Amino acid sequence: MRVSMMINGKSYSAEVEPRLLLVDFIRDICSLTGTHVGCDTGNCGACTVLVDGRSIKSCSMLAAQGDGREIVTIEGIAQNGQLSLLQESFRTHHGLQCGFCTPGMIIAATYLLSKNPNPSEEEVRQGIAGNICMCTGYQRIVDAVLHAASRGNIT
Amino acid sequence: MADELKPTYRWIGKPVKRKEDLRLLTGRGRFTGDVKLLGMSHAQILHSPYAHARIRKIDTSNALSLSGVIDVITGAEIVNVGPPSPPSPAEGPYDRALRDFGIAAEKVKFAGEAVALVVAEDKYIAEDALELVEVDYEPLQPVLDPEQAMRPDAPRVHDEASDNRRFRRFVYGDPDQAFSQADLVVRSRLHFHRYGVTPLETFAALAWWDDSTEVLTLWATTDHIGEDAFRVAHALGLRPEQVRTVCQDLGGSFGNKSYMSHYNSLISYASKKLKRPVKWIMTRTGHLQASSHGNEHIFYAQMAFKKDGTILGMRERLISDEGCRPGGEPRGAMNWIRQPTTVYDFSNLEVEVNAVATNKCPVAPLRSFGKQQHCFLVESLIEEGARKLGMDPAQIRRKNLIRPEQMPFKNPSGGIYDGGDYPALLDKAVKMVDYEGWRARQAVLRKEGRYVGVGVAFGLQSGGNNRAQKTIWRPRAESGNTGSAMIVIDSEGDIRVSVDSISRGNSHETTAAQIVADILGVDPDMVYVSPGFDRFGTAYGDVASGTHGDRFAVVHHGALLGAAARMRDRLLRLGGLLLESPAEELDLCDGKVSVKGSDRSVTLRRIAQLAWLDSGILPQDWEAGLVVHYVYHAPLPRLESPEMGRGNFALTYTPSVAIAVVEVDEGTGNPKVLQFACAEDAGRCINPMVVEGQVQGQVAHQIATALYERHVYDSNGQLLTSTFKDHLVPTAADLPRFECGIIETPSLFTPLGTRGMGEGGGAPLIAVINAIRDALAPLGVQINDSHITPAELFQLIQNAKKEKSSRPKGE
Ligand code: FES
Ligand code: FES
Repeated sequence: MRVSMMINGKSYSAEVEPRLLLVDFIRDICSLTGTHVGCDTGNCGACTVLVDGRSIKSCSMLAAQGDGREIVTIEGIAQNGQLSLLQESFRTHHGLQCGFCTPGMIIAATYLLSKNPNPSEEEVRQGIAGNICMCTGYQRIVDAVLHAASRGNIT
Repeated sequence: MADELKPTYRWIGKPVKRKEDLRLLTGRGRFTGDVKLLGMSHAQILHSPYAHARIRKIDTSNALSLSGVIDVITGAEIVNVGPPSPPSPAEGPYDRALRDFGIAAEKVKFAGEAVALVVAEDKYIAEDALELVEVDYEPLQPVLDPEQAMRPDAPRVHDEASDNRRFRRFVYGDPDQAFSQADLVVRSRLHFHRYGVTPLETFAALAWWDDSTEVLTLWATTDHIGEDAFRVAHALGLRPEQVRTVCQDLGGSFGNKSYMSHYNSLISYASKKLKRPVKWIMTRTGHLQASSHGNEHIFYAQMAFKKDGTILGMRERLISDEGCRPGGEPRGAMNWIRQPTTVYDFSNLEVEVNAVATNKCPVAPLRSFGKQQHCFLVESLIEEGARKLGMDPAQIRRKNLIRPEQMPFKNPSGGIYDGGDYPALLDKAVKMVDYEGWRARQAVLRKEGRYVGVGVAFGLQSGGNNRAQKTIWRPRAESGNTGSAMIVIDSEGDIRVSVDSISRGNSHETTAAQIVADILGVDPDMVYVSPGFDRFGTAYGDVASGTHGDRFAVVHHGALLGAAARMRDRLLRLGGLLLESPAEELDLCDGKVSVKGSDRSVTLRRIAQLAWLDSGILPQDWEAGLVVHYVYHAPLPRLESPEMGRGNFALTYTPSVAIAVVEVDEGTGNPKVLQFACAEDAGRCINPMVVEGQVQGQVAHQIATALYERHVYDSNGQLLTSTFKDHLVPTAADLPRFECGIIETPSLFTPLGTRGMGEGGGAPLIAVINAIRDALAPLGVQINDSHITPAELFQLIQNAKKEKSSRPKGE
């Protein structure tokens, strides 16, 4: 079947098997390998992308379900080579080590701040609870998100 | 060398922002699974559903007839290429282990072991084909309990071995005498559970046999990227120079990825056979079942004390469950030998090592490998001693700590500690949590019927290990530890650095640039550090290449410093030629060589042009160009006595103290961390932001190990924890906020005073367990495990209460 969608403002279209997962469409067909896969049960959040503005685990959705939608992946967050405020904040707060969870974290946190621009620490922790990070212990990620929120104007 | 350069440090010690962040934050990292090659095929592994079974027959015909399937490779085929795998515990020789493809031939030895490799045009087809491979198994009785596995009548994991166990005994000082003088002897059976601190990226490999050059290129998520080239070469009958191992970004490891060479050999075999690139990304379930697990240890131990809390000696019988693929040296069961008495000053001990094979996933390094288990043992015995003697847990530890004036301290097995102020570290942690304040509050809360406990624990983590440790089990000429760095300055003056390691999130690009920038007098932004490792491109380091055992902060810093110092000499000499001044009168800073006290200078670029493009004016005996390759070797001699287990086994010994305050909910058994602090002595920090990040990660891991992560096998040897739904990993909502404090007492032995750090030696885990022990002490609850769940705590509380109320009054 043919599937078409906008990813990071660019249109992609391909003939795919109905069972193809959205994450594989993004990684293998569109070669956007910033979106990662860390599990096979929808538990880790490494594959998180924005679908029509909502944060979704792209391993839990079929490419066919993405047909006609607008997707934002980590590659679409920085604009014109400029890190977003949140990305910059991850950098200054050392909110990443190996970087494998980072794309999913950035997307999840971007979504969180778009819904709740002024979250409490508890709300940040709950907001990224669908994303596993094995390296950082989360503290600096939480700090990075809080700091970005305090600077406002996140998206 | 280090001392005379010290005054020039401008970047070392600064929280410089990370170089690797820009690509990782924007989705431009390149992890092994991201690499694509023309004509690439996709492999999947069929894992055994049985823990122990004979393979009668494998029928691959249905799988092979599925359209898109290229090949199905089984152990039977592999047997014909090389000797069967894996190595048996009885033999355990190096050369046999080298020909290990990790695929079962006649018998499967753990649930999850590979029995077939399917290669197909895409991964969906490969997965479909797995279901079409028909394996006829004859189930055998699995060997699961390590203590039962030691009995002479136990079934054998390895048919060719006479026994499931390997055994050694080590004695230091005079334990008999020490125990005969004791006022108190505590005795415990302790259990350190099997767990998995799993990296978020699973194993992956992409092998490409190039028939034109007869070179195999292997992208792989391995920590041992140097050694794996040799292992793959031996497995495939190639020369090592035909194997190019590559890895750019590694999605975490924590040691888990140090054990994957057998899979690398298997995927490489497939590529060479099929003459196509073969890519394999392990599923999470496959990874939890069949990557590697952390060491499971059972201890029967005793510790002898004097009335005043002085430790006199320790006796230990260690039973180490190695799973089904023993290493040449029992994996993780020997690392205690670097630090048998950890941070304490006592000299009499006896250790009996039983390394036992079982039908479970192999064990391999995981953050604080073997050391956290040993620290758990020592700290648990001390905790028990304090309770029996009525002493404060911080006080009894303080009494026995090695003092700073004893440094460099020689421990009973001959390890030479590289400095550090252990009492100061304890003081720091005590202040960070307001220990005395909590003790006072605890007394009040106890009266209110609340179960609040304060747990203190020390960890010690050896780093930069001596290869000679292996010679205890296998006599051969091996010792020391090496690290390599290369610096190139091209004819336009650009500086490129590489090291023979891979960063697993440890920020090597950033810290390497800081060191080189300082010595060469430039800004770190001017220093380009090659991301990752390429055996044919980055600094050559042979078998040792990779990241394991805290090598970076120990040997790679030495290599970077050595290479940079040599490059500095070259630049000064060449600058002197242009400035017509002797090198002693010159300075190297701000990207220039200048004559001290004058305004005459030449830029690095000008010097580089001379070195590469105008070499005709160089004296004939000078080397042209600007290339330096430096192999640093740690001052670690061969062992004094391998038979007796004596020698210096590591270059740095990093102490940590953790203090946890935990409240256990009486009604649910839920342990809630109220406050947590960890202090670590990292020696000199190259980048304090990075060091603190590593320590935070370590704290989170170990809290998780105590309260979340545990692998559980059922009575048939099935792993019940093979997804993130059952193998619990804490999220941001589960973990508390914690405080990490770093002190810097420079290492006496490393060139920059740095030490391996961010492993903790188990301190955070043990602090949590000790806090729970302390919380429930009024109930007389005993906790002998390194892991505990709310349900188990609830049960312990209920049992204790029942026992209390059934006891006759007045007792
Ligand atoms: S890959 Fe783990 S949730 Fe999608
Ligand atoms: S930075 Fe490694 S998993 Fe989060």
